[in-house]
Amino acid sequence: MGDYRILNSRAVRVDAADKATGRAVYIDDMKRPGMLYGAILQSPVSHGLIKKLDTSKAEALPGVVCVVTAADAGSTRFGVSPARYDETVFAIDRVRYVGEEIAAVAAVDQETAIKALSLIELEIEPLSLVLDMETAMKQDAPGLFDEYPGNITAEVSQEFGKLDEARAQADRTYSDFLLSKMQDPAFMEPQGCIAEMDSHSNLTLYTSTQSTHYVQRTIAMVLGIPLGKVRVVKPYVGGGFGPKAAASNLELATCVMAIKAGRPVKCTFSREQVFLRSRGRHQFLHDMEIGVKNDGTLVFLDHRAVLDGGAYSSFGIATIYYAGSLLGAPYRLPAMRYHAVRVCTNKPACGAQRGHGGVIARALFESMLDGIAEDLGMDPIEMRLKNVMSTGEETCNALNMSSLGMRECLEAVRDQSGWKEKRNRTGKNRGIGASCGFFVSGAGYPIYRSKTWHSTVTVQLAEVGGSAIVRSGSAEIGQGSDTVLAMIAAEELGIELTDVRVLSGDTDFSVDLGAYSSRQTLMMGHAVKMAAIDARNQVADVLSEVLDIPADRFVFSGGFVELEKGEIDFSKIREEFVREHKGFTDHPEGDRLTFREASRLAFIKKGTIVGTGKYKPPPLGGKFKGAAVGTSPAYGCSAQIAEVDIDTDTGLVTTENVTASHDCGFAINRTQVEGQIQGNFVMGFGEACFEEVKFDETGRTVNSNLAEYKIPTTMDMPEIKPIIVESNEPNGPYGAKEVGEGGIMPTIPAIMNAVYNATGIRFRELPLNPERVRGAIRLKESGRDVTFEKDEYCRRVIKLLSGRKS
Amino acid sequence: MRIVNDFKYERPGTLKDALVILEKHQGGAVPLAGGTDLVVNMKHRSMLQLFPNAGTPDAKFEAAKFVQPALAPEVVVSLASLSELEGIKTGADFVWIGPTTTMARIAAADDLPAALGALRDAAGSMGSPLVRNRATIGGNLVNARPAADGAVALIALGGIVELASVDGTRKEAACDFITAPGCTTCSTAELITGLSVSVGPDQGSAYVRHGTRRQLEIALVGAAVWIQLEKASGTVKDARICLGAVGPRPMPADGAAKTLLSKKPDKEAIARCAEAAVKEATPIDDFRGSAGYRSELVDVLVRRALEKAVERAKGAS
Amino acid sequence: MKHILKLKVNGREYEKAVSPRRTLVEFLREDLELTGTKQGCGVGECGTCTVHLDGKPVNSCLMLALEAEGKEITTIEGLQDGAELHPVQKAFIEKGAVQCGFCSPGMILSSKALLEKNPHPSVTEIRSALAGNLCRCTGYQKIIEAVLAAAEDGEGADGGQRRKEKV
Repeated sequence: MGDYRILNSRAVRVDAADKATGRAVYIDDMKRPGMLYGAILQSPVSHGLIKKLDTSKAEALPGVVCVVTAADAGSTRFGVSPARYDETVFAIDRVRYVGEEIAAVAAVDQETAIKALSLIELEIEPLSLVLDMETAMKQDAPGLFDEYPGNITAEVSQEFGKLDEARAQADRTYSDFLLSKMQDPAFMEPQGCIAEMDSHSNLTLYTSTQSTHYVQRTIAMVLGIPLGKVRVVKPYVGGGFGPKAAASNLELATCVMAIKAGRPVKCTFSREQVFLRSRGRHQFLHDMEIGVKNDGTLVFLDHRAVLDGGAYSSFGIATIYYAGSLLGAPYRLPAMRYHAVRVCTNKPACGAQRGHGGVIARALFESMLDGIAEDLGMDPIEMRLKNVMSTGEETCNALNMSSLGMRECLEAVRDQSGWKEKRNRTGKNRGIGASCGFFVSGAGYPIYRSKTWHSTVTVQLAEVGGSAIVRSGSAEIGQGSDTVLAMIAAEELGIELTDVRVLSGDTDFSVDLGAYSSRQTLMMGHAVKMAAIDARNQVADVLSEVLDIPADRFVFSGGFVELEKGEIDFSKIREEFVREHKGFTDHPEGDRLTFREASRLAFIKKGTIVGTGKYKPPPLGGKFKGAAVGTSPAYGCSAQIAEVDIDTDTGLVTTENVTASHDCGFAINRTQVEGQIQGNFVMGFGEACFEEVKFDETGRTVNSNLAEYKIPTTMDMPEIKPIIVESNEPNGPYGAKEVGEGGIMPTIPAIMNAVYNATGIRFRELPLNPERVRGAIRLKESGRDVTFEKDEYCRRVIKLLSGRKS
Repeated sequence: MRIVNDFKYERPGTLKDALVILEKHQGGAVPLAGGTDLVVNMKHRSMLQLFPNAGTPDAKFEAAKFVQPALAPEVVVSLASLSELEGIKTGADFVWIGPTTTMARIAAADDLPAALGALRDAAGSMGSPLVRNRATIGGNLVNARPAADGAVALIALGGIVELASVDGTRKEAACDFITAPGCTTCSTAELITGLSVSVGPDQGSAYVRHGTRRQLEIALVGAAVWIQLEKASGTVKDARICLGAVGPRPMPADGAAKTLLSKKPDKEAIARCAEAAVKEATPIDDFRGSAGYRSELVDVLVRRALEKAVERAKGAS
Repeated sequence: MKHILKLKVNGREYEKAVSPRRTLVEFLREDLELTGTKQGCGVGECGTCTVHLDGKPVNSCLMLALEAEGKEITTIEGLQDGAELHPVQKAFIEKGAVQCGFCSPGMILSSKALLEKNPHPSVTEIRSALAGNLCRCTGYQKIIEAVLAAAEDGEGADGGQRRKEKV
């Protein structure tokens, strides 16, 4: 890795000042002239047939401009993956979860729109409910969709290596299962959007999204508008974490209202509606059998899983594949079999949430490794180190480890956490646990089958000289992508960070698939690097012609253009520049040619200098079904060690002294990478110990608010020591790869392992909330076997799954 | 979320004017103190509250309920101008607290005697620092939730609620004040005008609660304990216990308190008292936690509160 | 029926006709177009609507606008002095305490209020003071570090008051 002026520094984020002063504009801060306000009528029941929908009284309310239903929105189906388009903008004849969109009202203000909702006459004939995996999978279960017989929305059966042969090689085998709950991203900014159609039928949607590109395509497809007449723009976005990465019914409904009303319409979600929409983490039941040799070498993984995906598919087809494929690394695994189904139920749909399908699978796998190490009398970290893959190796499921700093991550946390001393400490309420994690650095393929570039971008040099504008379709959602792109452009052009402006999140600027699967640094980073170099080369070519010096001898750095050896006689260039700027008081001075002069000269000679860049991954992965999911040009990995202090009387688990390492290949911005490591841990802790979406017996979410869906507060979290590992990824720009999602992977198992170290209890059900922990401790203290409420349920569901095997 | 229903806003300058307004509107007027409960209840309802019949065969969507919040008063009477309702007065053998005194102020009042420890603990643990800067002790009491930290503490302290209406004034023991979830003996024409607690030497109290998170939590279970020691013998002269969120109202555990009388508050006595409190509690299962777990917590929290209260009583002279 | 509301916001006097139904956060964001204060939940559970009410940090979504009669409100827009940012803002920016930014205005205001009361808080005190402000992005670590840095800076919460003993 070279010496960089700007890259690898702690440069201040380009948008931090706007956010810290209240200047940053988010969707609900925006107004458009003549704007109306929308409100959405949602289903109050989890499953039913719409018998009556009469909007006439609502339409008649003064102040209401239009009411829209499926009759206006049409019946074109959409979703996330074309293989599973199962949604319509509004429910047509059937509703499948509490919160499903049925109609929408646009009115002069929000109060009128809400009042109008109350005038809509709606009758729903309830249908039998399917509220859990077991019910969904039973023979006589009510079906939610004709096209998903048995309520199975996806099924995966894969085998890599020869499992039965491998089984014969194993000295010991271990089995366990783990049940998690549906979870929510709980970003601070609720979704919202403003739709506006101009006089030439060009539709613009401003929306709080992670992917303007996917939203644009979905709107065009569903509403039958030519793609070239749909523009999607994101303002500042207050967090996404996955559920904002695809088009929503809210966005589509708002477009329909704007088109019908002939005026801009704003529609935002209340916090409760955020929960009802969900598209958060699936519920997972994982059942694994791991085989090892006596010396701790991993031999095989036999993996079964059932996913509860709620009422619609969303990202589910990818989720189910990730849940299996991501276990192919970071340890050498000669054979892996995976059989899983994703069922639909009458609950809010689940999609992609930070770490996607890999999080709970990793939690079970890593806690089993912990148990195996104990059984073999090995230190859990040493056992992991023994199995870690090397750079260049390929997993049994054809994922290539072009870089893998797993060893370095593990050693770093082991050595910087006091692991060895603390491991041996006994004390029934304190423990320490470790875990690893692994994740893609950008999905290898777009969500829709296409040869499209994943990222394109332009870097335009200001005609006046001296600065650059990056126009990118990528989405800054808080992770810092705008800053990363600005830093790359500034580095390559040899100018200050403050001389680069990044304009992003607008489909008019370029194609970028969006902020999901942790892809933007690697993919858009590559594209911006290419574009900046292209622009720089165009300037160098002009200088070369004018000064009669070979173009490749010019060095752009620090705002100047120089030669490695020798002086440039740029007097004529400066004279011309000064002559052009008579009256200005900031003429370039000094004995070095400035970038300002050079880029101005390039404009004079050539016109506007625009560098273009693009990126798409090479064909990746194996040839088997579903091979695409899990492929990536690079993989990030992480290791975490957490200590826990358990109040054994109440069951409250408190983490302390967290040491978290992450291999991001190369840290473009060190502060930002640390921020992701820390944020990942806290979100993972919340999911491990606090968070679950709770439903009542009618399928309604009972904790659709931030008081009862509990994300960690400042007082619940410890200090987190972040460690950056840089393995120099050959497929990443400057060696960089992901950090945004991978860092959550080790967290749940590190905590589970620490709790085991403290209590001797392996939990089979998440979250580890105080009641569950207290209950398990009580059982253990009384000498009884520790069982969990859902143990029998899980066994029954796994049996149902096994019954499907052919 | 918006307040969609119109209402009249009154801001009387004197207590008398406020009482006249309450009397005039026959239940249609509600007093507004900090607003941390009232304003939330006035915003339009959640999906969950709207459709209690959902899923049953005769479920009929009553859309009109979309705009019916939990509370839609005709008149809101702001108490903001009534300075006589705010403040803490400490006398030789009593402490008086105005009902519109904020929880933040109470939590920060470190010159309060150890006897009021429970109230300070409760005030400092509810909501968040932001909520506590507005939430009032009177509001907490009159909102009458079974988990209301302030109410639970006040009852353990033997607090007296002072009330006034156009017809005069009255006093009532805090333990009799709350009658059911959300209901108190305060009539729609009355206002709480003060809360008073008797204090004496060798008294200490503490409030301990449990929740999943350390902040922004409604207590899953709370326990307030008040102790008066007999200085010479070190035995318990008097004791009161109140439990939160284990019954329809904040629940005095008189039987448990009695087990301490005339005994030295050692580990054994404390354990026995806590056990007795568990027997008196009547928790239910709900989505926050099971009755069984809540019962266990009663034991743990009463023990911890007792230990703290005793420590404080010993330190107070 | 609208009432006339007279109050001070960020040092400036306002007199506006306001419906009783309006909450303070709606008044600030919509009537005064000060959109720096956010609304993440509307019920006092997230802290993104934090403003100072006579110097104390409160949830503006829980207040009727009319309750602010005669009061002094400070929003995030009121922290900077002309173009000069407040030390707490600078510290948040320097220390990487801002990611998506939605919690930042509230978090900064709560931090400022803390430093005004307690110029050298411990980490525990900082965590306590910020406990009503949720953040999903940062994991809180860099926010704590920013508050410590702003305190360390000696200027505390009152920008411009340099501590002479600091070198």
